[in-house]
Amino acid sequence: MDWFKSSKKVISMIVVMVFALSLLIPVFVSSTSTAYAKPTPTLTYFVRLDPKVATSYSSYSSIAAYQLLQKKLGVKLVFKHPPVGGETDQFNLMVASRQLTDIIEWNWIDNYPGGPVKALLDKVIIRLNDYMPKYAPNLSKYLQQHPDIKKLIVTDDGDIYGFPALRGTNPKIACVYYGPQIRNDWLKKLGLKEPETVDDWYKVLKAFVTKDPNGNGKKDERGFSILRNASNPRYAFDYSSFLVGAWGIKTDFFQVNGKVKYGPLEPQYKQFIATLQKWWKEGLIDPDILTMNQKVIRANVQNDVIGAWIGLLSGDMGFFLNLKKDIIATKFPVLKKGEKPLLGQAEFLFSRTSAAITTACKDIPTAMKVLDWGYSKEGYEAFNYGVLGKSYVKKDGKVYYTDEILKNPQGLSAAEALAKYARASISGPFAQADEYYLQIQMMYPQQKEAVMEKWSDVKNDRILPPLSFTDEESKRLANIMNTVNTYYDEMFLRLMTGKATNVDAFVKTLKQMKIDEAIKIYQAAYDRWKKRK
Amino acid sequence: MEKATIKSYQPNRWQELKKDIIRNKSLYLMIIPVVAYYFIFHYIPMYGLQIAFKDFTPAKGIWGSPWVGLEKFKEFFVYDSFYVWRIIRNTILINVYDLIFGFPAPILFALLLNEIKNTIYKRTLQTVSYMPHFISTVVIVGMIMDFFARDGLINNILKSLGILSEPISFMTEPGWFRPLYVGSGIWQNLGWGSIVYLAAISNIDPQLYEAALIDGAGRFRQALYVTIPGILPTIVIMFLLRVGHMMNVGFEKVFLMYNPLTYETADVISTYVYRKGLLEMDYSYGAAVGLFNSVINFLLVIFSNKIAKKLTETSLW
Repeated sequence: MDWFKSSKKVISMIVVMVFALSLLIPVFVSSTSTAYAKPTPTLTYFVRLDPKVATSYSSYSSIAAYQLLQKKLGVKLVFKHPPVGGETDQFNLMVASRQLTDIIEWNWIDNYPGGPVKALLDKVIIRLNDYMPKYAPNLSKYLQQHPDIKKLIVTDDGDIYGFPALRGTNPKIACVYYGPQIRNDWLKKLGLKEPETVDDWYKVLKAFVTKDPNGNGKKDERGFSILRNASNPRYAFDYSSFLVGAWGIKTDFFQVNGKVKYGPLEPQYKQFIATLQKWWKEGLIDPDILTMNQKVIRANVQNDVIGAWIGLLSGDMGFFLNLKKDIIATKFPVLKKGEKPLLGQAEFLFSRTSAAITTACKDIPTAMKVLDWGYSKEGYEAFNYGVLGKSYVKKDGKVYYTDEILKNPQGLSAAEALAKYARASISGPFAQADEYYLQIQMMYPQQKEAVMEKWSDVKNDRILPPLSFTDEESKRLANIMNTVNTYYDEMFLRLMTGKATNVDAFVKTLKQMKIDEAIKIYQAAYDRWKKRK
Repeated sequence: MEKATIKSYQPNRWQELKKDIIRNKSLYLMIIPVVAYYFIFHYIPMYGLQIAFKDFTPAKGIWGSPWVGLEKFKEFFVYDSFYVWRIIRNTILINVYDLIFGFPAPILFALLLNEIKNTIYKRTLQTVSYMPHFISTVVIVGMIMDFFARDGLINNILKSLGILSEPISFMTEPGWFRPLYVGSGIWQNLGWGSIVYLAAISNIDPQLYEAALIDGAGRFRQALYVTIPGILPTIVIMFLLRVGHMMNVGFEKVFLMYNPLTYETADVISTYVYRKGLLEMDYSYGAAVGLFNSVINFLLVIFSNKIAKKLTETSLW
């Protein structure tokens, strides 16, 4: 212990200790809030950063439409964007720590456990009905003119909880953007017609994997694949009703004449599974859908390995058409030629996302005004078209996007280029314009055909609208459906690959998991929905 | 009578401690950050454990949420009974595999390294073997996925050697999950894990080896009768620490490796709680299962410590 006597050593020891301790004390960097009142009111706004914007800007406040909004209304918007891919974590963290922003734009129906009703109950967001007439005249007027939309965006009790992201007013062009796509050149090469029935699909896929349509002399073709960001192929079937809709059922909840049903419990489900099993057994299905590895599947489509898939209208189909691939859309398969498919992709004009005002908001009138602007004429034009003379021009009273958008010199896609000026390519608290769908979502004739003739040619009267559940119902439903979904995820893959063949045993387990109770809860919620004013 | 002894004993204790602190100032200074770390990040948050017995909603906060007793535990064992036994079984089995194959591997490796005479070769081998320890889990799993894909390296090698005609889907076969998980773990931690044992080996008195040599023991006998007994205390301590994790499996690795097709063997407690507790914002549920887990781990450590005490004279306390 001699060294201990030399004071130099002691001092350096202490310095080291102090330094080590300072590492343990968390340093709180205060947010840049100024102590003195500013003349302009400031609002914080939580919204995911869409990748289409992220290619150009790091915040929505740089978008021309928001620049205009801030200037016109004399407010400052501070956007808080969660990290891409970590949105749900960040949102949950924000709610759990009660560090709420003034405005949160979120899918309250699917991504808040318990839905908007629970969010109101948890005092995360506020009920807007009393403020609507005074501070949101534009949205109020819009909802009066479109009672069908109003019915979608309120809770069962008629509470308005947010400013809805609307897909415009024309369901025929705005609500259809996901469906089956096929390699037209392969069809031509093999002398096949576009498949219409389930049997046609089988024949076409069989020819694809056996007759070397890509002409490289190798048997490397894969018939059918799925493009969708999901952990399990089942969710793509849930979402699009591809194939399963031919039997008039869905893979999850749907209704027939007002009675709620659950796909796997229906007798037709066996035929759907049998078809999938046959396709799988004969090697018609891309094995990569087991893990849904999107990178690999996309690369395989690009490398002329995959013949048909279900995917998005612009993100997938547009992307491949840009690469000069000869792709067309097909109708959803049916059982008998000439039938109209009972179910296909079905979306409502309300996209399920709403910008809500939180309980942390000190200046509700200003927040209402900011969000209401999107439904005014001025806001509609700014959010949909951007800046006159830059991103769009008017000819004979009609709106046309400029070449800056459609043939972007920096090589951005049309949707990305528009995202610098407007918000049309990312739905938000306003109504998307038809021009956006027609000129940007459907740049290619194949895409127009997909929407106007092929994918929209479905009955779709069996789907359930966005329902809302009571607190009690949500809890019970979450309990049942968690168990069910874990099991179903697993069984869907096992049934498809033929590892499990007994659908009856599967159904029996679902019943043990109390699926009937879940159906009852859905039924009650659906009955309430029908009574909505 | 007894009270008196305690009374007269306690100040003594304090005095002892005081003396000790004065004597070993620097040592106590050094331990302060560690104690502070555990106190701040491990003891203070324990008050949040109460949410395991409450129906916690962020709106009401930890204090304001209503007590529900053992409701959340019931939810886990009764409502989710379809999975409970499976996830507990998977968790324990992965650990058992890891204990049987993964625990002895670094010990054997250390013993083998110890036999190498050429120091340069020995050092190189050691460095190379502990490199993988520094690769992050995400990268490791990415490598596994690439190597073991249907058209990956392993399948191609096996095909070109004529061992297989059809590729094996390693990643989607439940039967392959545990071997891959444990095997990649061994590959990653073999070198790193052996460092401790090598250090213990270098502490063994060389005279013992000389004595064994005079007694006519060969290299193998020397290892068996000198080296292994010499590092036995280290092995026991490492084993006890390992047993404390019997109910935990590294969440990240399973989460990255599994998919619904391998749930059967791969779904463990932590991944299930993640899907149910965090994604569904059921924090109380997550806390309840976590608490259950910790209690089991705690009991395991106590028991194995008792057993170790009886058998080997070495123990944690």
